[in-house]
Parts: sequence; structure tokens; C-alpha cells
Amino acid sequence: MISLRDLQRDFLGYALGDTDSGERPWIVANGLSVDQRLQIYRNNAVVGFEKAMRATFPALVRLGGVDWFDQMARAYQRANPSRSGDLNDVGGAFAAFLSDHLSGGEYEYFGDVASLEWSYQQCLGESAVLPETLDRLAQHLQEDLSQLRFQVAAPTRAIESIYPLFEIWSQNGSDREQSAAIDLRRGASRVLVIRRIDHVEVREVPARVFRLLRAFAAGSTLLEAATAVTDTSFDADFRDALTRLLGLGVLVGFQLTAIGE
Amino acid sequence: MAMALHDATRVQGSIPVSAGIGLRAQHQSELLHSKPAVGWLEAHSENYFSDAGPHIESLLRLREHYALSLHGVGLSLGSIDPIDSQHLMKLKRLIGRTAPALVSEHLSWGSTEGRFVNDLLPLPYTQESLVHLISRMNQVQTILQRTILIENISSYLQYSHSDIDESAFLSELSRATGCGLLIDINNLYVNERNHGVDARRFIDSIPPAAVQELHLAGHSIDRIDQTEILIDTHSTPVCGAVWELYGYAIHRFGARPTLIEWDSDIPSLDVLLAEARKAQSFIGVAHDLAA
Repeated sequence: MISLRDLQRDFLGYALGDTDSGERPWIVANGLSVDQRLQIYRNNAVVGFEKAMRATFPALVRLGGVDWFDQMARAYQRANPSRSGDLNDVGGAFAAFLSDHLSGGEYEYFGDVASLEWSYQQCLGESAVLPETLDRLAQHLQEDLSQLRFQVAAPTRAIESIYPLFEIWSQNGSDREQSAAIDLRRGASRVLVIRRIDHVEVREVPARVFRLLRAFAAGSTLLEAATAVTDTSFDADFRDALTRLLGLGVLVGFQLTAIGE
Repeated sequence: MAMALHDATRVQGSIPVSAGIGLRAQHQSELLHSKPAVGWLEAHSENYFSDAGPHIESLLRLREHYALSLHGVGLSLGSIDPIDSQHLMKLKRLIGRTAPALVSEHLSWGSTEGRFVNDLLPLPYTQESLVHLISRMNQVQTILQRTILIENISSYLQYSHSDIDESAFLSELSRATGCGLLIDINNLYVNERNHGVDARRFIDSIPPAAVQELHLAGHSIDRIDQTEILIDTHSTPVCGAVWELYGYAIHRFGARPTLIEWDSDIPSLDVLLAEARKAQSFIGVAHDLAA
């Protein structure tokens, strides 16, 4: 008699397309063949996965069409079967999968769209982090601020693309009647996904603001971040970028001492 | 605003013995706005695991007005893999936030060696499976610090080495672990049509005291070659034969909280509420007979 372990390994393998027909005396045929019965479960596995993916990546469904999207979702499932009992978790590697498959081609930007859509979904499920008042920073303005580190709100995501990503995503939201034509040569786009109290904000930011945020998110000090953004520290461009970043409300705290002190 | 954890304990209560409906995203706003008269709501646990977002926030607001049952599909209770502790902790956290009167899962599995198909796959009804499920149920209930209900599933195949009736399997699981039973009447009907398993005999074999909830749903009829097969799609109204079987179940078990379960091709809220009113009429008759 087949063990429960071996039965489950075989059954799941069939459902995910690892194996096909073969002798399975532990399954009763009864009018339909064993393969036909197992095929119902294989079909369920695919249809459920496709449905979950479509719900997570609506802009990509609009851009590529349902048939194309489902084909990609099925290929993605074969390469990255679900690792969770929660179908809401299945899309995490889809952006990388699309980037690999579409790299160098006409639809190369779809990977970036997937990255933005996944970021949006993840951000939506996280609680907003309200910035502590930065007024107390004013008490330290006469001190050496070179070791100052800002804390970036945890739900914030930053996506950079060589394509006009923000416009592509905006024009293909589910609230749009139909997709608008976009000139892909319009240039790079740097997008922030920000969790607000009652919604998720997606906005495009200038390159230096983006680089500054990335530097702070990586734990850079003010001095390190400044040199990452501009050729000379603390010049007007840096001050402008920092002012804009503070205005976005994504810097939610700060630390003045060096890490480890 | 999220319900604080300490608030959850004050409203736990019980599910009323009445008809409830499945909570669907597209109905959340309307439910919050009009607060229709329906006994209770059932939510799919996995859809509410996030910290924040419109769905969990709506659920917490609805919880202030309706009793709640949480119904999971992803725990893969019957899998040989170790229990997914992350999944279980998310469920435990959700239970803490929402104080549901009932928590349920399925007599099924859906994963092995870390890969999931996110479907409810059938178990063979053998001593090996029973011992395994008893152990898993005890583990889950210990971690969750409460008993849960387990639901019979519809299936599209049977195992030749099953040597325990499904009803006996569920009854023993309930007896050994204290878990309750959620009997899905549509699933009994689907299995009767697909495998010839006598649904009334199943109902007669289940101890009424173990049954804490009933589900009613619709199904689709497919043809593969010349063979008709019923698929548990939850996408249609409850059919006449299932209503009849529900009447038989209510007569045997007594009035029980009954859920109208509709998961695909979701109709308007009014349609769900109409199905719930029909179930309520059966419950009313059962109450009258018991009085």
C-alpha cells in the first residue's frame, strides 16, 4: 500500500505538471480514467494561480492581454510554484521572472511594471508609519551632523526604470477605460510607493531625491548620502533634494550617533 | 482604525443559529453602508492576514456589527509536511484581532516538500491518515488555544485503499481531538453524484453534537467524454437537491448556523441575502419542531 508521503508527492507532482500518466493503482478510475481525474486537479491548480496573479497585476493584464498574461503566469508557476497556503503571496518573484524572459525585447519594461505592482500590493498590506516630529533635530543643528542617519518608513518602496514607468502604470490602472499610447523613449522614471494613513500613494520623483532616499534606506549617513547625490557635499542640489524628501513624509526618525555607540 | 487586541476579547460571543453569508470584497462597502439583516459573516482567513489595507479595515468595522466566522483554505492540515508555522501565526494573530466565534479549515491537504497547489486535495481515509490528522489537529488547536471546525470536502477521485468511511473518519477525529465539524451539504451531494457515496447515510452517521456549522453552495456540471462530473465551483445558486438534503440534515442535526457560500461569479448582495433567507426558513422550521 502506498504511504501517505509517497501518495502526496506523486499527486502534487502531477498537479504541478512534473509527471504525467502512469500506473496509479491507488486511485479508483470509475468511469473516468485516473489521468482524467487527476487532470481536474491540475486544471484547478492552474486556474486558481492565474486568477490570483491577475488580481495582483492588473496593469500587466491590460498591457499584455489576458491570454498573454495567463501564459506567463503558467510559465511562472512551473518555475516558481507557490510556497504558501496563501495565494496572495504568489507574485513575489514575477518581476524577476519577466525581466529574465523579456530582457532585450520589445516588452522588456513589463518586468518593471510587475515590480511596481507587487510593491503596491505589499505596501497596501502594511500599516502607515507616521513620522516622529523632526522638530528635535533643530536642537542639534549646531552639532556635527555628518553622522546623522535618517530612518525611512518601512513600507516605502523605490523602483527605478529606464522606461517611463510611472506614466505606463498610471495609464493602465483598472480605472482606465482603455490603455493610452505611451512613447517608451520618454526616458527613465523613478517611482516611490508610499503608505499613507488611508491609501497608497505612487509618485514619480527626481533622480537626486530617489538616490538620496535609497542612500538613507541603505543606512548611509547624511555625509555619505550627500556625496552619493552630488559631486560636492551639501550643495544646493543636495539641500533641494533633502527638502523635497522631508516634504514627502517618508523620513520617520533619525539617529545622531554612529551605529554601535 | 484597527481593533486593539484587548478589545477583541470583549465581543467574542457565539454565532447565532441562523443563516449567514460569505464576506466578499465587492460587498464590503454595501454591507458597511446598509448593514442588512443577516445572521453573521464568514471570511476567508487568508484574505485578511495583512497588517493593514482596505479589506482588513473593512472586516474590523464589520466585526463591530456582525458575528464572524473565519474559514481557512491554506493550512494544508493533512499534508505530511510540518505545519506552516508562519501561516498558523498569521491565523492566530487574525483570531486575536477579530475575535471570531468560529474558526474552520478543511479535511484536506495541498502541499508537499514546500510546494503548494492552493487547492483542497483529498486524503485517503486510512488509519495512517487518521493518526496523522489527530496529531495535526491537536497541534493546531494547542497553538491557537481554541478548538476549530473541520469541513468535509468535495472530491474528484477516490483511493482504492481507503478503508474507513469518511463520516467515521470525521467522527473519530472529532471525538479524539474535540474539534467540531462543519458539514458542507453541497460537498456531500457532489460526492454522491461523483462517487456514489450515500449522502443521507453520511448524515445519519455523524454525531449531531459535533456539528457546529453547515455550508450551502452551488456547483457546476461538466462532461468529460460521456461522463458527467460535478465540480464544486461555488458559483451558482444552491440547487433543489441540495436544499432537500439540507432539510434532511437539519432534521437530523437540529438547527445549526448555516452559511451561504458563493466564491466565484459573485452575484449582487441581494442574491446572497435571498439565499440566506431561504436557509433561514429551514432553520425556523427546525426551531419550531424543537420547541
